[in-house]
Amino acid sequence: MKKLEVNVHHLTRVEGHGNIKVRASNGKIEELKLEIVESPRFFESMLVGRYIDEVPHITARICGICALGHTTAAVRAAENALSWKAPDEVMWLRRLLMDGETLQSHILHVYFLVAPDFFNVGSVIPLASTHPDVVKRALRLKKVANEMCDLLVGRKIHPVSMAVGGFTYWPTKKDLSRVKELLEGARVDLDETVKLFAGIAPPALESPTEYVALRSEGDRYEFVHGRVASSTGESVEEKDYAKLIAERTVGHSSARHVATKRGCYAVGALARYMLNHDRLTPWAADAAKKLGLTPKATNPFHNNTAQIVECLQCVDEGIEMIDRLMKVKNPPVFAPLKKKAGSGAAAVEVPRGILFHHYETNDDGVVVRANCIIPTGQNQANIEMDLHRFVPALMQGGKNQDEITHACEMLVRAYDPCISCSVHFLEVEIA
Amino acid sequence: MPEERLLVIAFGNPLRRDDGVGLAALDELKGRGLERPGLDWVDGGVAGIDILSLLEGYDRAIVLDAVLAREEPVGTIVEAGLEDVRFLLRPRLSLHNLDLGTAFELARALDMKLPRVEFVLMRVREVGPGEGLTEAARSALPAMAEAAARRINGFANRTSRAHAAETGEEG
Repeated sequence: MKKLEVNVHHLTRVEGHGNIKVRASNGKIEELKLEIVESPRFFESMLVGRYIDEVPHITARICGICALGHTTAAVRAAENALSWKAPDEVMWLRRLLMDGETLQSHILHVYFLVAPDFFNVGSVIPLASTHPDVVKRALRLKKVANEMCDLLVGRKIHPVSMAVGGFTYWPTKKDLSRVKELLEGARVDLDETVKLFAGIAPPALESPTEYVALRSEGDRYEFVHGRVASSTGESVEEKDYAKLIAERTVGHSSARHVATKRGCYAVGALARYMLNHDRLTPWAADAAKKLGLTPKATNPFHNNTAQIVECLQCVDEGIEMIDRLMKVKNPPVFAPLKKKAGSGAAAVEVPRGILFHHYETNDDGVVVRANCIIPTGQNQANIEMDLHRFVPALMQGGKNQDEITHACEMLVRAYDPCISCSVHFLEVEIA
Repeated sequence: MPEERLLVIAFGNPLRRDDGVGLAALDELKGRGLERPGLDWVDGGVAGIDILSLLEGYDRAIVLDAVLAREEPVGTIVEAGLEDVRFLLRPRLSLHNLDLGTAFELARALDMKLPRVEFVLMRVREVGPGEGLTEAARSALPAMAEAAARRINGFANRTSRAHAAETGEEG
């Protein structure tokens, strides 16, 4: 193919609005952009002027999918600003909640966004007709996570009891037993998930990059607390994240690009796997093997493979956390923290990758500066780099314009991008 | 005869101006002393696909949400049944935040049992980032809550009539 022009307006099956523009001639890329056209996030400015302990309840509404992740990051950053260290029991419950959120987000992504591509259908609706058992399985797994959220933090959708300084409600042993039962019950469906995706080969693409994810000093596959680590071996404490990464604005996107001093990098399930694969539970490690995922992987499509592996990891870890929480005789009593001037940053692994929240407060505990660095912003430059490598290979492979366009969309979707702040209005016609 | 169950579920994002009218209407309803056995309230936030699991076990559901105004004035209240509503899918299909139309379409494709779903919606236009409702939406809020309250009372009356018929007591 001599000339290629890919112009995807409003990528389907990604969160928010994004465009892909590619212009190539004689196998060479002349223009390539992943444009984020959603309005810029105004949440940071909304947070300025609020008391620090109000912040998590606002950030919970930033994203309908990562409500717990944003809440956890906000709570931990606030606690760091107020120089308070959460007791182990609080951190165990936070881990359990993140396990639930990661499970539900990954399940939805691999089944509802990714699977239609591999079953050659346009969306989940025809998939529900051709493969109802597959869609029903996904809905069952999603429900497990909703029930977890309801039992543990008082709501199915947006958490209410997670607060700066701990939890305003501590789950009963009956609640914890029920959650354990739900997680144990998910094992069969997850084994079936591994079986299903083991038979599906991702598109070929070798695109080596730097990965950034949390890695704890202990022996845990980390989601909630740890050092911010790079696959190059460099790592920093979460408060020093700006020594590892830096944000910059670019003309074609309303999301900020982020880079290390070496350039673009990737975050997300694959990055976490790369930094923590030696810490997978035997069940999750076995799934990685069956799915063909190894630490040598350089194919970004394996982000979806890593998401499946993490689902199993989250079930194992969640059950371990419940076993610990069941032994807690005196749950930590919640007390609001004393407000003061300070600066606190926190890094939390949300389903799409590492999320940073950073707040500065004045003497009254009022936020004077807020910064949120979201995973999709961090991945954006890396996706463009992948597209630069992917498109020429597709052209050389004799793919036509439509096939290349579809393949580019699949690549962007593999990162599970979330590029909108959530809105819910309906567009309907009434008979 | 098992008790009939009604779920009142509000959707929206209070950080997106009038997108939050459903949640504001829910707050208003909660202050009207409508609580009764079989009635539950849920803040559905910006959930989409979750509605399918939220609706499980209910006989009826009332959805409170914002609907995009075109030529209609902001603040117009729209009441409709699921069968009267044709969802206009936005150009994207985001399954993490599956829009309600797709969620219901999926339920149909999977032959899932749904309760009777009714919508009480308010026409809105301003859904950009920001807190607080516009004056037009705020003024229309009592009418939206009233429309939902009528439906809740209708449910309660029907339930007590059914109970009376079953037990032989006068209603």
